[in-house]
Amino acid sequence: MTITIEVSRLGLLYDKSAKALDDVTFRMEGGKIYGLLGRNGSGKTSLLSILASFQQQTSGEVRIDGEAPYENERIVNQVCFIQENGYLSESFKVRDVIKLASDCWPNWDADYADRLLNQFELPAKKQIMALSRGMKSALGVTIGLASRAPITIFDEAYLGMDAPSRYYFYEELLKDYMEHPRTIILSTHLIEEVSDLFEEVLILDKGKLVLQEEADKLRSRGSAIIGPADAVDQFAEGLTILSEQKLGGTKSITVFGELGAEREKRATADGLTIGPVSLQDLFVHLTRKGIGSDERKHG
Amino acid sequence: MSGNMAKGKRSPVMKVAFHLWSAYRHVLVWFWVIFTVIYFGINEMIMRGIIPDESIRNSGREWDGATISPRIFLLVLGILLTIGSFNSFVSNGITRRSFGRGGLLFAGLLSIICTVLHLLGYPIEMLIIEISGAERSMQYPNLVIVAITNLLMYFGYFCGGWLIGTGFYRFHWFKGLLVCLLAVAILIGMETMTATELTGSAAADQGIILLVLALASFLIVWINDGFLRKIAVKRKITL
Repeated sequence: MTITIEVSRLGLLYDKSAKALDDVTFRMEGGKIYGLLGRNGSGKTSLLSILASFQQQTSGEVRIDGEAPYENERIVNQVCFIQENGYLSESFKVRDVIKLASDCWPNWDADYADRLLNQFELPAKKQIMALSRGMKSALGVTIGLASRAPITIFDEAYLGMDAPSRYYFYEELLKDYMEHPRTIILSTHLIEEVSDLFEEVLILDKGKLVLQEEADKLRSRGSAIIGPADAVDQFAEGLTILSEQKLGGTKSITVFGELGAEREKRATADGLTIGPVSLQDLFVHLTRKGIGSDERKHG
Repeated sequence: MSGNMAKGKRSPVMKVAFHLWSAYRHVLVWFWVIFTVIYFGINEMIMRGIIPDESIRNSGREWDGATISPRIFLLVLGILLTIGSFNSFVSNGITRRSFGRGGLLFAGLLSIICTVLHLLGYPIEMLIIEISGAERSMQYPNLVIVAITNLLMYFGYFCGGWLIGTGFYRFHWFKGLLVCLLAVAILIGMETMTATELTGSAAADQGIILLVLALASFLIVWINDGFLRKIAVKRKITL
């Protein structure tokens, strides 16, 4: 079951004047993995919490499966929003939290939840307040995955987990998504780790949506060029350089913007190697201070 | 750990009430066990003259006054309800409306249980007095009136606490304090109504008193529900 999310001119004020979200409009088709990226304070959590009906927007409209989600009984149990150290009652035991979740999420898979709890070595009788940060994160992602909610949102939910646990989560997420297609939104600062999962990327900056694009298309807007330093410098003239590294006579640069067939031919002739660029490099460029909206759109 | 028990069969309101009951039933049992043991223990010591207090010894009907502690207990549980459980339910796909109604169902259940347990205390008290051979006035009040009054008071206290908790959860400390004062004012009003010798009042007066208690409880519930509907889920309460 896949559900479409439509957001139109969404705004959220906090402290009566500061804008957490400003005129955000987008559409998310169901059955995809989305990456929601943005710097600290860009409005990611505010946006996600409105989608999950954790709070109401100040202006604009949200439609999930064609209906406003806030206080909508049909919609709220279709959107599972998981945050690191999120909303678990500290006095509850792990088994109480799982019991509550199993009772509330219509598509809950109890066997899958048990398997994840075992994998993350979460003790059923332990109180939430006695769990480590990593264990709380693991419990959160267990609920998120086992809920099988048509819209599942992970907002830095796995940040407290150690690297092996995180990679296990990424593998499980992909595997479970393939078996049970649904909309998954990942908001993260660990872009390098999860970027391969993204099918589409949204970037927020200072409360505004600066980009929504398919991940592959976005990656094609940047290139890594490696070769003799002089040749690389000549080739890079007129291009937007995101980063550069030099080791002896060899230089590597990352550029933003499509190269075009002619430049690619020239690079080959000059003995340069062209490779893909990471989403993280592009993200850093797109959200750095002073960049214009035209550059974001057209590269 | 089987999580599929009765999944989807209960309505969201019933889910809330059921999980609240599961979470707090042990607390309720422990409270009443400790409270009755201490209460009758002290009473027994007074009867045996271990604690010398002639005024209490001769007054009779001590159990009438045993509703204060349960009221405070329910007030505290009410305060904890939004603060301790709102996030868990709403983040698990329960609407605020269902949380509010489930909470009311839970409040009603606790009030009924406390009322019944309090009523059961009368024969127990009588039995203890008979066994100890003490001479005391045993003119008990109209238990139906006592039961209805206690039910409304317990319900009012729980919901009053709930309103206080919701106020501090939703607002910053100053507005939270104002909500707290409002709740306390209503509860004091309810107490004042019952402070008039209830059982000695005329039937018409008793009816009016019960009606006012019911209206006061309804007022608390109505205000609390209004606050709950617009509340944002918070990670921590900001004071």
